[in-house]
Amino acid sequence: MYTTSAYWNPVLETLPREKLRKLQLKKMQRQVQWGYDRSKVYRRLYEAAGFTPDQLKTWEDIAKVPMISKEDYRSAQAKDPFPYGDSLCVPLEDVTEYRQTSGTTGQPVYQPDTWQDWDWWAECWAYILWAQGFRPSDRVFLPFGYNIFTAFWAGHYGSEKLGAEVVPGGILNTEERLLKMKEIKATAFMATPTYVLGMAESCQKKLGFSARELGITKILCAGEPGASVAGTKNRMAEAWGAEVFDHVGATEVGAWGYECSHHCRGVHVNEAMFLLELVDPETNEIITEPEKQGKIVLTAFDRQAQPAIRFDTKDLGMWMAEPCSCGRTFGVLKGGVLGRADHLTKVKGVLFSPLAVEEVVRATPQLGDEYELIVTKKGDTDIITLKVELAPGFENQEAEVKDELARELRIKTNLNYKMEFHPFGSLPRYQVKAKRFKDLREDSH
Amino acid sequence: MAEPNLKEMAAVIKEMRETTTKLRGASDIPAVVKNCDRILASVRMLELDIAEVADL
Repeated sequence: MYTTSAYWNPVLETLPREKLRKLQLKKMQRQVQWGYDRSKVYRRLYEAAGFTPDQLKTWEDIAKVPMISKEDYRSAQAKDPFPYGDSLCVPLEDVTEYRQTSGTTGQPVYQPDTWQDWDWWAECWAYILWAQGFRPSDRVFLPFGYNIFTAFWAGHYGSEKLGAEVVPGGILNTEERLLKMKEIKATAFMATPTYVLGMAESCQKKLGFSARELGITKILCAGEPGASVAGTKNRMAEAWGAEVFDHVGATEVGAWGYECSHHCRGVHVNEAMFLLELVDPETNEIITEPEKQGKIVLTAFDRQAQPAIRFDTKDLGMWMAEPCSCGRTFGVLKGGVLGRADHLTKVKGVLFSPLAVEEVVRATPQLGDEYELIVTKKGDTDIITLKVELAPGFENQEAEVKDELARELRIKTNLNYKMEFHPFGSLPRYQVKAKRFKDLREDSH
Repeated sequence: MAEPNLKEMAAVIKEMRETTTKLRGASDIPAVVKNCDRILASVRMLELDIAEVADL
């Protein structure tokens, strides 16, 4: 019976590393040729670097392939054929899907996909969902307003592909979604970590019962790194009484990474469909040794309309030394995505990652789920303000929580913080990607 | 369950591509052309999942 298989595709997921490398090189050569032949933006990029696809002969040659960035797509788009311009690799009439990036870092990137590309998106998601225990017997609820962004369209199609029953909960508000999940006896759902926690809070506060009573067994998280942050993951698991899984992807690339049911504290990279390289941000040298942080550069091997070939994600990650006990031969990124290279900033002369603060806040049980982190400058001095909420029942513990928090943050980040305690429920709540980190130093001059 | 014979499976997938491509080209009936396009996309997934590994 196929449903007892631990893998969506054991052929690829347990392929010996040597064969996997051979497959990756073959696919890389094909995709580089595709981009060079079909896309003006890749052709320009490669010609400017003096690179031609025939130079890609060995595994080591991959480092010679020029990287592409979001800015390259932006400058190539909004021209004819509108709106994809020089980045489109297929006739416009072959495009069946339009999505776009959220525009968090500037002008959104338009993302075309053919029907084959879209089937490939669903295929990649089927790898993820199957590894997390999603099966045809599941009823998957999607508490998300589907729109121009990729989230959670691909999760919807991936669930369908593996045979699960999918319930779109887009138009409903949070309370209506919770009640619908209860009514139809949903077994699983997908959301950002922020919204997973927000829903549990609403369930208790507005509907008067615990989210644990809904009988959800699996929660897939996307859009934020929270499901790989131990404190945040534990909070979600505790609030829902469910198993919580991380997944990572990007509109320009695809759904490339996933946590499996063995929870090895990392995400598997689907290396049959993607090439993930860790690159030293300073030297651009490839990092192969474990436990060393680098910038994540990704190639989607089989995407046609607008390929991502050595796409600089500006995310950070590191390889895990030990293999996962699940038997997959795919490499594992320890702790998932470790933040953004462009969020890694120097504060008071110290390299600072906002994700480290989330780890501390979410591991402090007296605090609510929400927080805000704001960096400002007074004269020559950087000031980091951390706004938090005391959880209900802990209102009289501000002094001791403040001391504990200061100590833990000092250990984790080597920095001191100005702390503000706000009434529970007063900090902004988010449904999609939360914007909790604000660096206002430019504005404060 | 016995180990899958990847080469045999790859041969069947190849036949599926050939058969669907033939049907797609057999007429200009939109319902045939566009349904064949969808079948070919699924065949491509089988090629990625199975057939390309059989060649290694």
